[in-house]
Amino acid sequence: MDLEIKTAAIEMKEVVVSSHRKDANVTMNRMSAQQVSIMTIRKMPALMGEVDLLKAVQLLPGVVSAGEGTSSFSVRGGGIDQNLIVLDEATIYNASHMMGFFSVFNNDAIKNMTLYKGDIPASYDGRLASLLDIQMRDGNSKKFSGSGGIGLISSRLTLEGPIGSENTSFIVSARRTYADLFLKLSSDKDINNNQLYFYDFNAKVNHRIDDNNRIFLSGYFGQDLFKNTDAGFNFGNATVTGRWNHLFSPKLFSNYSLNYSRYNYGLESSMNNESNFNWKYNMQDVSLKADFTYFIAPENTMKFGYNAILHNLKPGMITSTGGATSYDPYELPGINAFEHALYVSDEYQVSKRLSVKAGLRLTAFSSIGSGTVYNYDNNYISIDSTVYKTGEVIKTFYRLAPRLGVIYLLNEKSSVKASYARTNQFLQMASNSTAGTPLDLWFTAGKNIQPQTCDQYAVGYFRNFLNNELEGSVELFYKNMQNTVDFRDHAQLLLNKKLDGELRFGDSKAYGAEFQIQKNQGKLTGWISYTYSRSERTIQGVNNNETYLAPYDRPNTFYVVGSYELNKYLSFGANFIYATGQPVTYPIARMEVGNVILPVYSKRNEYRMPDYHRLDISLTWKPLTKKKHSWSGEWNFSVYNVYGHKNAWAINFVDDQETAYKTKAEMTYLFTFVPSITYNFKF
Amino acid sequence: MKINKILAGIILAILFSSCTTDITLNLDGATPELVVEGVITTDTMAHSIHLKKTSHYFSNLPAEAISGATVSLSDGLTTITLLEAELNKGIYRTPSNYYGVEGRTYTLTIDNVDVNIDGVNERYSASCPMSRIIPIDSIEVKKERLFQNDMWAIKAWFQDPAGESNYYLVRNYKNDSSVSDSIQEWGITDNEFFKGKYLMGETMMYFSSTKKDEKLQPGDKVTLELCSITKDYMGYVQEAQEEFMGRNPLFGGQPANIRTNIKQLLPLKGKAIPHGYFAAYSVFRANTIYNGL
Repeated sequence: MDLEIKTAAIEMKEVVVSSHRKDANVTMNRMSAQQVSIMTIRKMPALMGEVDLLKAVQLLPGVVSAGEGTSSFSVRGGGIDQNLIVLDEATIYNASHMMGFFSVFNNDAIKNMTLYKGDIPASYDGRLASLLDIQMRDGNSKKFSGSGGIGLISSRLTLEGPIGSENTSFIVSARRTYADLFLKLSSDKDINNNQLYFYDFNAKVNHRIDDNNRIFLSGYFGQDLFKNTDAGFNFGNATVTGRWNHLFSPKLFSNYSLNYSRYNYGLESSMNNESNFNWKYNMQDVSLKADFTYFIAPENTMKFGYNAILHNLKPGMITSTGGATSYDPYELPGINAFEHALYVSDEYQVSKRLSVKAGLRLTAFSSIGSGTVYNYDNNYISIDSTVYKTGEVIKTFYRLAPRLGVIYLLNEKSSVKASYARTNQFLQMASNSTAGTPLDLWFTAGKNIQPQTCDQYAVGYFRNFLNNELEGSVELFYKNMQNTVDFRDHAQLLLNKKLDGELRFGDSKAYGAEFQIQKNQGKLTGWISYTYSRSERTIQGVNNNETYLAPYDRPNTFYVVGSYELNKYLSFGANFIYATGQPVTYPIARMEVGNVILPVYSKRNEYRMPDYHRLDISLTWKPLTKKKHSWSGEWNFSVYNVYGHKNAWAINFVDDQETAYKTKAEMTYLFTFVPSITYNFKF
Repeated sequence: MKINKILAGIILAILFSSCTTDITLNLDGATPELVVEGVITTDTMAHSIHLKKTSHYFSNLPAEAISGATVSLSDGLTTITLLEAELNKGIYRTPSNYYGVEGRTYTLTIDNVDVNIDGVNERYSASCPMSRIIPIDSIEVKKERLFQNDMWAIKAWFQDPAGESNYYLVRNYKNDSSVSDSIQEWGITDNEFFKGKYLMGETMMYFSSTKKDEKLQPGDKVTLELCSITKDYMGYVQEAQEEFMGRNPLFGGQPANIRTNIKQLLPLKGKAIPHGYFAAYSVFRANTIYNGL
């Protein structure tokens, strides 16, 4: 559906294209979803001046960052691998650059993003906690133009325009960091040969065949590289999406897409001796989707479709390079899986005030060969293994995912909404860390692992004020999850053929309340939100089977995101973030063994890290341009963590170097007061 | 293990702006618990068992020794009682002509102790089988440059016994004094990568030029100690090393107590949580003189 609603001011500044009504917050039968425009994100202060979509997501109510500087986030108490991030429908498995300080999304190439924290549409499943749907820009179909930016650590350039006629447009966008260029200045040979950078590349071509047919092809490619004299490390994502929109009639729309996504990393040592190794990890998905929207009647819309995904994971082979002893290559068993899903949902306007929607998704997930699967006894000790041939079905799971939503309009300004959604997760990450690393190791449900499920119930009250200028909402949620995965104490997750034996399973639950006031129009825009959220787990074989706090149990979060446009030339932005500290396990005693002092721990997550808070500010200055339609530029000055609060990133317990037998707690913090400057331009 | 160390190096290089500062934390206390540290090896010597108590994490004092316990050791055939050292309380020793025998299982029993001071005596026990000696044919020392430092690699030639999983603990000595006397300096590995192979000059340990006591000069006598240990004991050493190193949010996982093989036998249904390890392992040593290369 192509809707272009133009809001023209007296002096036309920008055209706001919106696919939603101004009062959608109150009237739309959709809850637990947040849409933030890329324009809003660009006004927010950013770390080192790199405008970052995922850092903006982390400021939404119900969402909390997994740690300082990371791209990973937790939604309503869920795990960092429980968020499905899709870019033009293709899954992004690791959305971070440089350990997460930056995300893979180059803001120049992004059109829109919507985060579903619950009430997830039936056309999606596969992650328990959220869906983050990101769309790339289509490119300017009227004229050739460009934009870009030069920052302290990276530069960006985007070019877009029509090809031939208005029916075809393209956009290409590239970005590269250059931190390592400064390393070249070093006189130390060991340092000036180091490499440390990332780059990414987005491209999209759109073509309108006729009024009833439109196609586009889009792609993303990005890579991080690190190399010094002893070791090299690289990781990156690639996606390709091909999509065809076809209108059978004004009542029946269809979308067909074929997507490819890949995540890989490699780690190699290049030391001056014989015991070097080389490790390569690769995972890829090929997905086919057919999605139909049928406008049965003005008050009745039906959506249905089919989705198939082929997962292929090669966790890697470690080969030793050089050396006198011929080591056997150590190959981690590959994982293959095939997923089909059929879904249908219907939204029906029962009366002027009442609307209901119901959806159902049936997924068949099969873990297939070729592969070796280890079999375990009740104590998770491997007893033997089974080898499966290519294409042989190891195990199939059938899962239903019902979805329900209802809205009742109290009056023009307020409504109540309720929703229920069951989500299933067949693919998860073996990561014992809280923040997420590039060394992600994904594994699927299979012979030893049941799919995870989540039942989420939510109710909300929505009210707009001042002629829809202010949007207010309160949402309550409760989530009940089964087959939650955690890991045994001291689990060995990396380079372990018998990974399944390190897993432990149980149940978890999360509940909370989110309050938000948002202002989208006028000189002052932004939002204030407060969330109360709890999350806990009970896992057999962890913490003596007793319930403990999930790593993302952050009871109180308070966010203020604001932007103020003083005049045409100057605008200000500020973010304030407060979050209760993460749960943590601290030592409650110590022992002396092996000539060192070692900790004896409390129960799992009995303590909390200090609370997290910081304030970021920014100023954007657009110098007056004399000529029209030519180059226009703006300067952006940002300060991250203005008052320099030392937020604990890690707390470690160490020996005091000066006094024997003295131990102390030491906190690691990453960023205090980081100023930056970026120049952005358009032509 | 090697890969983990390289990863840690990369992460440190990338976290260009991280800083640390001391922080004051209020930690709860816990009832004192038993800590056992003892090893029986194939060496002929007075083997010692150390009994200590846990203390508050910030107690900042040496651990309290447990004196007056009845400590006995069985190899499945005979049981002996260990004597507490007169001058070193809490250390219980075998006679000086005692040696462990390959293939036997050693059981330690600790009696007459009331670690948690509740007025009721406790009994603890632990056992560990002695694995067989795996001999080294020869070793060699070679200087290498690693992580921007001079390091001396000790390379060994030996046969990994075929058809079995083996677990190794290695330590190095310079002129007969240990340079790896703390648990985090020990080397451990299983034979997953070289099952049944003949290792030809495989690097087992390093001397580092950044540590004063490890710097090698030509003419220094270098000794490599190869201990054949159980899988469980390797797990204990590995966990102790992980806990010593600490962790960060990117790597390392959740903090967790180090495993133990000490079990409380009395009183029945006792809820003590003993710590430490009683191990038995075989030892083989090989020497060489560093030639300066």
